[in-house]
Amino acid sequence: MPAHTAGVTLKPEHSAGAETLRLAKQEFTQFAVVAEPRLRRALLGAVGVDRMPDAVGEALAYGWQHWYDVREVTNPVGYLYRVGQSKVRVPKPPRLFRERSVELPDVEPGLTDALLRLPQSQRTALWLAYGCQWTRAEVGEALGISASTVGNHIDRGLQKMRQEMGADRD
Amino acid sequence: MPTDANDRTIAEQIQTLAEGAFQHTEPVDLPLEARATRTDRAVVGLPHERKRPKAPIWMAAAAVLLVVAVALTAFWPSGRDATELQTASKPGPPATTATQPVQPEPEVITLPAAAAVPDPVAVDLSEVGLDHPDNVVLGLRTAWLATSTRGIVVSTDRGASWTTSIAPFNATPGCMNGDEEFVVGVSQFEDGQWLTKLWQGPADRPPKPELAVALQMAEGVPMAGTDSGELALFCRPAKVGDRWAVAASDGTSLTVLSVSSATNDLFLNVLTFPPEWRLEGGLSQTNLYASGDRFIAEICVVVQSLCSTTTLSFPATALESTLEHMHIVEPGQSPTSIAERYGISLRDLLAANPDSIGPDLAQNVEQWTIPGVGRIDPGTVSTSLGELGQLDDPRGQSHPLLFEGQGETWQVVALDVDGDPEQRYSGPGLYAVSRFGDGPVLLPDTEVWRVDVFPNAEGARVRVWTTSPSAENPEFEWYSWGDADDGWVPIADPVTPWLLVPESDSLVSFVEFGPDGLIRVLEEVESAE
Repeated sequence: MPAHTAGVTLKPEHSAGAETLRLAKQEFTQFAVVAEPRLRRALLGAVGVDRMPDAVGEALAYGWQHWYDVREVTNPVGYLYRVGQSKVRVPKPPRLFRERSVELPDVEPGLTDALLRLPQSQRTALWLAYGCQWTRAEVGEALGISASTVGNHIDRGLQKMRQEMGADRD
Repeated sequence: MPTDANDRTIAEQIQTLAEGAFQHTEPVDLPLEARATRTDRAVVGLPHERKRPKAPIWMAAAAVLLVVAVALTAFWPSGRDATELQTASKPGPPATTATQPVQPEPEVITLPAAAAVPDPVAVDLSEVGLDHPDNVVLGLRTAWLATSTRGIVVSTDRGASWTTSIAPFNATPGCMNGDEEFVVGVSQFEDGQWLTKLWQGPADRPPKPELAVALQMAEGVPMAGTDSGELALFCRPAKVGDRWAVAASDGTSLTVLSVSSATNDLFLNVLTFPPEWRLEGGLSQTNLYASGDRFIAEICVVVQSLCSTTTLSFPATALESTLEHMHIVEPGQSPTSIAERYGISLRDLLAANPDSIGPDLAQNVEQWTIPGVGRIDPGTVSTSLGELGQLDDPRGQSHPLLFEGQGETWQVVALDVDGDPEQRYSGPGLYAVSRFGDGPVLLPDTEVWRVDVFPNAEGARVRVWTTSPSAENPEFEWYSWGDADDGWVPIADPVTPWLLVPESDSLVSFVEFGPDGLIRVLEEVESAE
């Protein structure tokens, strides 16, 4: 198989740097396309609809600024979730919808209020585990707690919601 | 509110609530152009910005005086003439000036070679005849790859030398990792046709499960529906026998690049999906697995932020011959544009399609035979379309769907307690583990929330988590399964042999059962630590 081999002296080349920057942006964009909706959904339950855009924007900005570090972590979305959550102040209680006039999902009337009245740790664990379908390990990484602690938060949160809603099962 | 709302579980209603709230949100723009970021500065070789406290005015004034003093020092003549000048005209600065030499801060810091390994390849591509502005450079620890419309250069020795290959079109599928071993696929033109060559890393080490790949797809790549110039994705190569292969897909076709390490035969094969297999979406990720004498392609196409998965299985022998690829004419395509798309001449295209000779006939041809590109016979392909997807148990734990170990690929599926396929993926139930393509093998009738699979030469062993575990107090049971008809057999005393397996949330895919009964962890795929 004919092939030409040539020795080349390395030279500083800014165009190569720009090319790698373009590739880094491309790589981050690929990541962000998938991560952005996951962050949006996760942070919606954590900080509410009013602060969520800022939290997602801050998380993505941090992700890009530290992309070479972020891409190496096991769960980058969980990592950026923590970044976004720490960047904004959370009102008590957060709102899940901007307007009351929107058509609410088909859930029991007391569910939303019962969920929002939970302590933040339990509410966030329930939201990420059931609302966002994150694994317990992912929830634990995002909240900085162990998976077993996540399970405790979930169990206690469900118990409180059952009591408030008068349900007899999870 | 329907009357059955009260019957639904709180967990399901939280999911419904989250879905409804999420639907009322708007996507957040990416902040790439907001400001020069740390990543920007790192890739162009600039130091990171550091926050510096504002200096008070007196420090600024002192700095100005210091600069003046340094300037006087630098321009003041030295030696005997200086002494004469000092005595003849005006007093100069003392010989032992109190100011230290101040080096101007460089605008660009050149990183040392070791630190710059993953960073841009500092090479003048014009010296190897590649000065096209669209050059793409991939720089990794052991291999660098550059491409343009005029050809490809690959360096496997960190830039000390370069191998050039001239391809007739702008197409460079690549698959590389950042560690010591690598797999690179490039295209080159040889003996009147273009082929794709793979450079592979050390043969005695398995490839990493995830290899970063930058796949530049342009007009020459025979992938339907890829009008965009570039697509970056991840891929996982696999090896069956002596044949390495990487694959890419856009949801409408599968392109497989393969090379035989024994014969050095290079093939590019395309499987065009029938309509019922197609997944319309955006980004794609394709992983290959080896199972016996077959390849398994796990194709994930992102559809509205969700991964829609198709899994195809085809024999490795399908890649051993270069059959002719059939191109289905799309509206607006002409013979000339089709020839350009595949990087072949119009003469070659017409020669491969003798029935199309003549300007009138050519316009009416619906299928064109494309020489030089292999076609995977759809009759050899089996698919489990629709049976795979995100597998979450009732407690929110996700499970990987495919494992590869000891030459076979394993699939994890879920069934409900009653075996009703309509109830799949919902509610508490059993987990079944099966060899790919075989029927499911049910686990013991126990409620579990996580299953870890450890295939071995005899069958598999499964760790079944029965309660929420912790690293301090894991609660699980072990079962083994082999070729016998006994099904899953509990392991009575699994304590000693399993101590070497991490008991956290780690997921180990490649383990080896040694003759001493101990497990050697070959590959830790996922770790919560």
